[in-house]
Amino acid sequence: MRLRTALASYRENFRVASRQSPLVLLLLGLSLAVILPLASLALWAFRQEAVQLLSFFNIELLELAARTLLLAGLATLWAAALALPLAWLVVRTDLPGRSWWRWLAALPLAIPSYVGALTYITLLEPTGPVNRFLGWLTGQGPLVNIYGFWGGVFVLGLFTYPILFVLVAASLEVTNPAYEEAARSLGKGPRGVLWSVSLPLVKPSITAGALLVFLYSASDFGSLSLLRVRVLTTEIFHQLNTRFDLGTAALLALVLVAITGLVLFGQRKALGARYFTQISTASRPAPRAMLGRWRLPATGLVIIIMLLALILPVMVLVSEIPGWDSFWQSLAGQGRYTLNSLGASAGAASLGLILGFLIAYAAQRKRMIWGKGLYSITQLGYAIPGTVLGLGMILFYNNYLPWIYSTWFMVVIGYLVRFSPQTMQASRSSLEAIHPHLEEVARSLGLGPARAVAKVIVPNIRAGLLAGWALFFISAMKELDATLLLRPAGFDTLSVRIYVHTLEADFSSAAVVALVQIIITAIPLSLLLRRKERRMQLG
Amino acid sequence: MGRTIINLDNVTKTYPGALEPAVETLSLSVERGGITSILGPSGCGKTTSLRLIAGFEKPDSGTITINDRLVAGGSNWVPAENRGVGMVFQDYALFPHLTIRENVAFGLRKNSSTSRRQKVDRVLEIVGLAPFARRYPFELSGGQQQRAALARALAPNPVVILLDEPFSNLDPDIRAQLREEVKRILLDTSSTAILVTHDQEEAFSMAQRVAVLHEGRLEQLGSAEEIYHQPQTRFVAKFVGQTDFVSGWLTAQGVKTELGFFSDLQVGKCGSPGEEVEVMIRPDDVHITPDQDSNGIILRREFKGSENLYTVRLDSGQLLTSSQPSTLILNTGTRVKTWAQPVHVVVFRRKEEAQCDIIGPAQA
Repeated sequence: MRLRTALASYRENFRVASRQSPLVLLLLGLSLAVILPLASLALWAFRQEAVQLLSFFNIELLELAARTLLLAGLATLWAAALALPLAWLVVRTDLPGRSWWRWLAALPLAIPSYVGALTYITLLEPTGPVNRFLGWLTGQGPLVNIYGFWGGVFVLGLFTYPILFVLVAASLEVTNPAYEEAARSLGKGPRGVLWSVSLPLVKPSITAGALLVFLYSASDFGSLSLLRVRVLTTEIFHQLNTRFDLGTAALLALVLVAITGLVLFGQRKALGARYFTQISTASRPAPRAMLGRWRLPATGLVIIIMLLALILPVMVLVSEIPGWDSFWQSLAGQGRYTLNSLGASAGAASLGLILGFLIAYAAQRKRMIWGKGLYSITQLGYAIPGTVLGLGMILFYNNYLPWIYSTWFMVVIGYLVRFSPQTMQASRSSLEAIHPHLEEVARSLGLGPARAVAKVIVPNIRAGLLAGWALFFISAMKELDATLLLRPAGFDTLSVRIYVHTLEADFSSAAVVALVQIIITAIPLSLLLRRKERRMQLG
Repeated sequence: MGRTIINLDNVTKTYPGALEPAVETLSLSVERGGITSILGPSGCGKTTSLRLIAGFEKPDSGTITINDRLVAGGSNWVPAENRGVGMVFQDYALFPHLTIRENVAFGLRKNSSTSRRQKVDRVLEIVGLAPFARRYPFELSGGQQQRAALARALAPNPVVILLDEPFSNLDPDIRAQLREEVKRILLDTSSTAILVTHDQEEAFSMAQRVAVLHEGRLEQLGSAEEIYHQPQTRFVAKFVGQTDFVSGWLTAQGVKTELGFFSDLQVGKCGSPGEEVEVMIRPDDVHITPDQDSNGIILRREFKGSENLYTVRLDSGQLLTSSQPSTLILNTGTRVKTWAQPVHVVVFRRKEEAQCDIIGPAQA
């Protein structure tokens, strides 16, 4: 009885909310698209017979989970070891050519981790050039083995460090020199200032970046699968594709969801307790440390990092091209996949931009029932590992909406769930810079609500919206883990082709596709980076 | 004056999550022509009343009519874009992606292009921004931006122009000059305007009528002189200008205070003889002259440039403020003879908010 009245009041609330703003329906729709696949996972996992469930809660499951955590943790440390010195050197010292390095160091963002894996497999596989050279030198069999756990750590850290670098460099850049000067005047030496003021000030961005790297590493499937590492994601795929054991796959996926959820929750708690922002951002640039006799070693370090993360991989890809004739030939062969990738990514990015803008607008300007809760649910999509989302969507759509299943629309929905938070956040931060007064003036001058938004709001935040679109597009172009599971038969994207070619050890074909993909994503990426730089000069 | 153009009747508005209503049973009518100011401290509901008139907020109860058309109340609701109300904000809210000319033309979409061009030219001429028509807002100074915002609001010939603290972002020296200019423009174009401000000087210098708001309610509506000299409540007396309350005792003829006897009181209104009351005294009515054997002593002198503000303590403990010429300089500790000669004597019963009688000539 009480339930019925509660339901009735919810229904009434919802009726009121949707009349106030039909935008709440969009928010609800996207939230359902996030929740329903996860709910299906839980349903399937617990449908297992109890005995089977228990038998799986054994050493093997624990070992998988532990290995996943360990790998993600080590990869994060490795990424931090690369990103933090690099960020400090580039932003806060007189490193020669630093503005160049600043730009270059972010570029590996354009190389997905599975392409990174491809390049290092090409180099370091048992019969690869490095091992052949070492064998010739020492007369022994393969000395280096890229396959396995340590290869996974190496590749993931190397290709995820730019996430951390970009965040920390930006935060170092806006550090108000007055804080450091105050510390100096209170009697701290340069080293004391670094440890007691400078680093603590950028700590929130270090934490945020490290968390992103950790989540990425724990949920990565593509590169770890190519490197033959047994972690949760690769095991899910194995259970699903080889053993057709949906229940076990769902159970593993739930464990992975629990891990990412716990990490996110812990981070919220940790940050929530001592969350701070710098009151005023820099009005003058932060002072640069003089490297002195460390100039040469520092430059050497930066060059080595760039060599490992950018130059070597690109060189490997280029060198794998057998010759220009066959390059054009195989390029022509990729036309269909390029179109698939472009179509799905650009289409989803455009839909995602509209959806993200409308939701962000509604969340900011309208008082909506459940608005906050639903908004946070939609943000979750970003943290769900691609493999988990793929599996959940298969379970849900195959059983309840089979007419969508096995169409390319599955891929688009998957991208929307995973990457709409990017367009949403881009829209939101742009909207925050626009005072509601602008819209109100437009209304008082005779424009209806929709026209006021179109004529006054949108033109003023076009750049921010475009940036959100570009971010979404790049992410979708690189997406492999969910695409692999969601694509209908015959709908291969560039990322899927790279994966398949590498799996078949056809490295030169994989390299051609990877180059195409990198070039396509590098264009919007360089625009994004340039925009950021310009904003910094202006600000 | 003319007929009523805006009427708020018993309007109440509580924001979601707020404990107190922002505006409570507010009734206010504004006549055609001239400037009406809504004056009050921050949080008094003045901006909310403006937003209710503009159509940015819906009242919980009560009705609002503009030009005899019911725009809010009951099931009636006319959205902002159909009210014909011009808006000028404190932060100007000029569209940053449009030039000044395009900003001003924004509300003239329904006009033909020639009449639009003529109108924009005329309005820009009126506000003196014709030479800046092609510039973007960020290329103008604060005062110019404010005039552009005014031009944009004027262009579509609104029923009324609402100005929300329009001068508070400007430097004091520009502010006074711009006030005069905006006043001239509004009067020259025979517009009706409502100006929201917390600055009494601004309200007095610009508006023909002033409405004082306090905690969401209307305290008094009248000319600037009425508000200053004949405040209806203690709040108005204290909020507008400096004021002291002095104890007095009713007699059959008037009220007796330490500062003198004020006659002509209609004693019945404030109580019976012998009863204690309080009299409002403005600093400009308090006179002091040095006198060794008198009842007051100077505690403090505040030099204001055009005047000296003296704080005087009477032997009874009563504190008073007296405004004296800037050339009259007396040291603190000087004993002074203190008396008052007010033109209007406003009497309050003890612990009552509203005045009970005002002695003195009626205002024109």
